[in-house]
Amino acid sequence: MRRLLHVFTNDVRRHLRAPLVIVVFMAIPLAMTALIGAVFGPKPGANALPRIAVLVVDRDKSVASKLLLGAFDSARMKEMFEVTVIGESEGRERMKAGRASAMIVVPERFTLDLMEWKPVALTVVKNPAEQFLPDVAEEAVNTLAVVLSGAVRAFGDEVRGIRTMMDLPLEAFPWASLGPELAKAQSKVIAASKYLDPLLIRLKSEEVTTAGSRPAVTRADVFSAVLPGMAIMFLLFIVQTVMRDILAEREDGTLRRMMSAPLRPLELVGARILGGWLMGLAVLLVMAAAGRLLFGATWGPFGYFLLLGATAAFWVAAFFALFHALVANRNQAGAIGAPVILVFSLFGGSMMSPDAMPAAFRPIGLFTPNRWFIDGAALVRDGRFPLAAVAVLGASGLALLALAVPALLRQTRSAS
Amino acid sequence: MRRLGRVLHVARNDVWRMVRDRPFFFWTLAFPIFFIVVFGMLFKAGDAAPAVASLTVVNQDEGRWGAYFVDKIKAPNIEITVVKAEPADFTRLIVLPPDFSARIEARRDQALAFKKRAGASERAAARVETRLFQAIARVLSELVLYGDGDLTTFLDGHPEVADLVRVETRFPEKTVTAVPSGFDHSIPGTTVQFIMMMVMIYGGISVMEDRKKGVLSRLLCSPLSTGELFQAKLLGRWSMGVLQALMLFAVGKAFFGLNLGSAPLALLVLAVFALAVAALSVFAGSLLTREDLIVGVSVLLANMFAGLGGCWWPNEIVPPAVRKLAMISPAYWAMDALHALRFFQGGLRDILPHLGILLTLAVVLAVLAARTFRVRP
Amino acid sequence: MLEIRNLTKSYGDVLALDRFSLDLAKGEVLGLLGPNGAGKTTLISILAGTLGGFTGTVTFQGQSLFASRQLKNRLGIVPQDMAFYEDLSAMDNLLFWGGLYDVPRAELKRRAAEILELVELAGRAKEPVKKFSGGMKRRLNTAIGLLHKPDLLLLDEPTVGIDVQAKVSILDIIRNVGAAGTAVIFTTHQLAEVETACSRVAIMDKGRILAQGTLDELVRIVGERTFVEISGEFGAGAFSEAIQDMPAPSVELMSAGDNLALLAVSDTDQIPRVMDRLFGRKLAVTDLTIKSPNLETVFLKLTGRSLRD
Repeated sequence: MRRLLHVFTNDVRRHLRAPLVIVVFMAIPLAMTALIGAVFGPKPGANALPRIAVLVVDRDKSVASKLLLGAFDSARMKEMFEVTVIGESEGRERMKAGRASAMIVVPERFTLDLMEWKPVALTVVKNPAEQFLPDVAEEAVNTLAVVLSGAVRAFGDEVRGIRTMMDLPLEAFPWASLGPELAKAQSKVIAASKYLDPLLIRLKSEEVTTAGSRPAVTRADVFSAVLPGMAIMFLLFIVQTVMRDILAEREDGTLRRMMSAPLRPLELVGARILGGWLMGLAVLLVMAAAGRLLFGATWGPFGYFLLLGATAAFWVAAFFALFHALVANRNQAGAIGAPVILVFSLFGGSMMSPDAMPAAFRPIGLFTPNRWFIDGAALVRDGRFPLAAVAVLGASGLALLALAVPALLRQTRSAS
Repeated sequence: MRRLGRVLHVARNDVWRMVRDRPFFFWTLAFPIFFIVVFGMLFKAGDAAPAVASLTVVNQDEGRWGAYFVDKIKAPNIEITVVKAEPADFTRLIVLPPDFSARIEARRDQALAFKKRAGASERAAARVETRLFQAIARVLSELVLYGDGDLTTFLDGHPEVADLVRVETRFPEKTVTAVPSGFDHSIPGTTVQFIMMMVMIYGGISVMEDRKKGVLSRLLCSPLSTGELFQAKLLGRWSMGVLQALMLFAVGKAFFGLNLGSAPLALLVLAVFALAVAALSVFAGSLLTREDLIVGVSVLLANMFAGLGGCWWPNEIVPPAVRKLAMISPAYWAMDALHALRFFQGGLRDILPHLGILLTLAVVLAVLAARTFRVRP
Repeated sequence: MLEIRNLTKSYGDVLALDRFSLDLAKGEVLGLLGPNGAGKTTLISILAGTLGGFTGTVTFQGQSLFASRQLKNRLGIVPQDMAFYEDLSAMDNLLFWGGLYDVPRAELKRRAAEILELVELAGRAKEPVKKFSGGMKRRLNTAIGLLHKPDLLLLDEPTVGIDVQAKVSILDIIRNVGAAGTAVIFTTHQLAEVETACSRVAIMDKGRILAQGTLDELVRIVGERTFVEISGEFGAGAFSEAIQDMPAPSVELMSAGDNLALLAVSDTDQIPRVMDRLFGRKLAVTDLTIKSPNLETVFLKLTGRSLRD
């Protein structure tokens, strides 16, 4: 045990003497978290998305198109869209230059055709370079189209009656007939008001968070959600770098020299795994502290987080112990290790939320430490004990350790 | 001429050595393709939300209006699960209360609880919410039209209401003719990101190792000058970036139907971009003395530049301040130029500003790299 | 062929070369002998054109060695480092390094094949160099310097860290290259190598040449004396005291340390007298070796220290 600790402290001292690599690897998740937080974090007093630039070309210039434009004037729509009514050629130029997300073209005779219950089409010209905002604009126009269709249907008879009169010359306009039509419309409005004022069916949206969290998402919450994924990803990189000593010593001959001392192979293997584990945990705690200081990220009860972190670091150390027992040399470790980490991170939720993944990919994440750590960290953040994460990471870590230790012992003996 | 020959000779040897390295093709081709496929599927048909958004309907309604309302919500891109009681785990959920039908039939207003789980895709939630608004609008239109009498028998038979206003979508003239596929978005982003990562890592490490092993010093024992050696190193790393772009674009074209707009101009953009990255890699290789440090710094820079430059997410959702900051990233200018070519059928004139900025950046970085270029440890 | 005059180079306060001068003729193999830090590698680096910031002149075939980079076509360098690409094969390495010189491609291939024969690597020509043993790598390192048939070959400790067989092979190559007319400067701190391979030897220390000439000429510096190495149980001071009043030309103390001393004696008759003095002072002697004059004793005489210091 004394010799194990001796090797372990020497390893720690060596890594602390050249800490720049570890510092850079710790800086990466923090920098990426900062970037993701800046992009996806809530903006004060504004919509989650930037305002969507929408151009409207009004070829109709009549009642229905004005109604449509009026809809964009509501407070909620104003928050979402920045509407500019524009001439057709200029609109085309702007869209060609990609300077708006969408352009709505209201066709000629839009109002007249609606009055005649003829199907009409609004055209939404979408910015092809954008993947999201044009769709939001399209959906908004779709909803307006449904409402407008309903309104026109509801008041169709009256609208048609008035439309017929509009074709007559002014001197022949049947003013007397207008009154009854308007009266009918009025009675319909009154009748409809029982459905529309207030709306018979409304939506009451609410964002549901898990127990203990705040109702409004703050930027610190975004950082708190992103940082665990980044932290576990770079914990994998750092522990791999630290534990590459296993191969380096085999290749450089220091392993043989060590084994000529009264050091048992088990002590050496134990020191390496302990080194990876404890240095990994230390790095994780430093990243957590830096996240707290820099971004105000919350981690939940320290005891729970420490347990989760220790279990995750243990898993990672056991995994790389086995990994380094299986690969032939440092080059191979570098060539295989990094892709493995990136695949873990991609499917485990470090690079994207599992919800955003195609359904078929989601179960793959369950085989990665990233997914369990991220899920566990979310529970800890809510003040809950991450039982499943600790159990799965702990049990699978022990299984990896059980495979790694004999393999490493065999290698150590053969190298010496 | 002989001078150029020597520069080419050294550069060719660098490329040859990289290409011979077995993991090279994994990192420059196989791994990016893996990313292209995953992100291409993710961004399918220009939609960064899941292809099908899920909605759980807790239909506790004791009448018939609940099921009728659910019918109105149905859409190809929404997966509806109808349950009786609110489950513990859901992504988004709407509750139709037990008295849903009763309140409609009594013409009493009601608010339906629509719950979205925090952290789930906001885009999918927005899609579902819009669909719910449309369903409500349709039901209300029908009620306004035909809902004069007894609403308990309303569902027994009323005329179908077809929408009078349709919405057609298209892209601007002389831009794209078909909806850009997810791969059209994922291939340029992945290519740009991996050129940065691989050229910086491979290029930087090889400069550092050659210096440590005395290879750079030995090269100068030949008639090669320090300037020529620097040019050769720059050219080797640039060739590697261009080679990677060519490979990924070729694979994209052959297997994913990638449309670049003008392929020669897209390659020109990436060639100028690769020059800036090559200079950065020689700079890193001259400045740093450890392999893992070069890897760390390269990963850090490549990821930050990729994130800022629009390789990971559509730039339009990025806040204006971050968009301004993104201009320091060479990836931003490359991506913007590729967008101009791909999505707006741009020509050389449209991308000249981008090329100018990338070239300036390349020159600045090359000057920095030349000043720090060392042949001795 | 090569004239070096007053070459001076310093690193900060440390003088690496101090007005160093040397002449070298065609086909001459000069062994540059000196301990670590003597300035050998600095000299080679300056001649190779990879180190600047010096004063003095170097004339090569009638013109300044640094006048034109084209002159490097006539210069072959074998650095101390294994400076080549281990991921490439021996043949690929030769073609790459040779390609930097003005040798036509077809000629280069022919020469590469020849040189691989010469360094006995022809059978492993296509294998990645990383699979080679240390000795094979050293031979390749040497071969790269020879490929373009230089007029002047500079080798900086070309036999470091290899086994005897590989060493002999490299020394053979150096001898043969010299015999073929190439001027060679070969730095080492191995006396035996210089004795084996060189036609002329220069001993340098602290940036200067202390003596130079053929092996015989150098040995004559220490005279026709016999050297006696004495081991035993004594202190340096006690040993010096014991023989201090013995007449200097007959018995000269070259070096004295604890338990080991080196004496120069005019003839072997002096040895019993020395022993008497030691026994008289109760100094225990366990071993005594009589040596003929050689480079080691010359070096010791000139520098006052061993080559391995």
